[in-house]
Amino acid sequence: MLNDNRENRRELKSITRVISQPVINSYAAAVNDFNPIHVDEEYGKKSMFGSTTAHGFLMVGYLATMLKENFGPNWFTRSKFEVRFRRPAKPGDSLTMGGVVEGFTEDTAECRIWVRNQLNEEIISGSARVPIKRGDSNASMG
Amino acid sequence: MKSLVYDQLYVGRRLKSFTYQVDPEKVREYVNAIGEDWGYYHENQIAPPTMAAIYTLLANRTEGPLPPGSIQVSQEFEFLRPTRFGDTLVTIATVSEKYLRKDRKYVELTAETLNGKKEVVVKAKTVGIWGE
Repeated sequence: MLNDNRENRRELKSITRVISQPVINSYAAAVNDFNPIHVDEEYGKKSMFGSTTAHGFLMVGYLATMLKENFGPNWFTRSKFEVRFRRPAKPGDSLTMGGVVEGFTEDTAECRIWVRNQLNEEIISGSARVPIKRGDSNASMG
Repeated sequence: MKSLVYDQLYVGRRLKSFTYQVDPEKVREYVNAIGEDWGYYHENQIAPPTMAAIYTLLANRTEGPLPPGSIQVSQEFEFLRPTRFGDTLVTIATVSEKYLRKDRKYVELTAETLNGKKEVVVKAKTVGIWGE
């Protein structure tokens, strides 16, 4: 059963990444996704966004890194992860991936997670359910 | 390839499977692209779980791309096992829901990825607004 005692709420250690066109291009090559909205700067300028945008899953990868730094590779198995894409990230954006543990079940931590830009706008919001060792709810998560 | 047609999607329809072999070089490229530590993955011979998640998205497009203007609303993943170097992953996506809301066409696709031992590696659910 979820223990939503507020004393158990804790901020996850956040990470930051700066989006640039070379970062987007490297990701495009890694996942073979060369959609022009991501990699063609001229196309991006004419688009509704006024520039290229980062792949949504690049930021999902960043969120995964943030979770790994907080929970270790525990979260690679028996975990759940849900994300909603709120707005695009563009070259020049400085992104913060963060979250908060909102409660524990017997063997999982229930987290709210997010990606925010330098204006504190939410780029991605979501939740994660991460397995923890029994008795870890008051101990180190990493 | 022509885009998928909304009217031809029905709940329960299974799309063609998507097969992928986990190439360590591609994993290294992915790990570097997200600014992660390659050493950990190299040492354990596994890929980040989000890389397997990308394959589930590709499985949504085996019978054609989504039409222009389509928007991914949400993504849900359940990671059950690590993805190991050399694994051959087979993903099948199924249309699990289809509905209209505020004149927008929504489609929900669920996908399941199996490894070579027929073990489920990742389950995914994608909700999208269909482009015109």
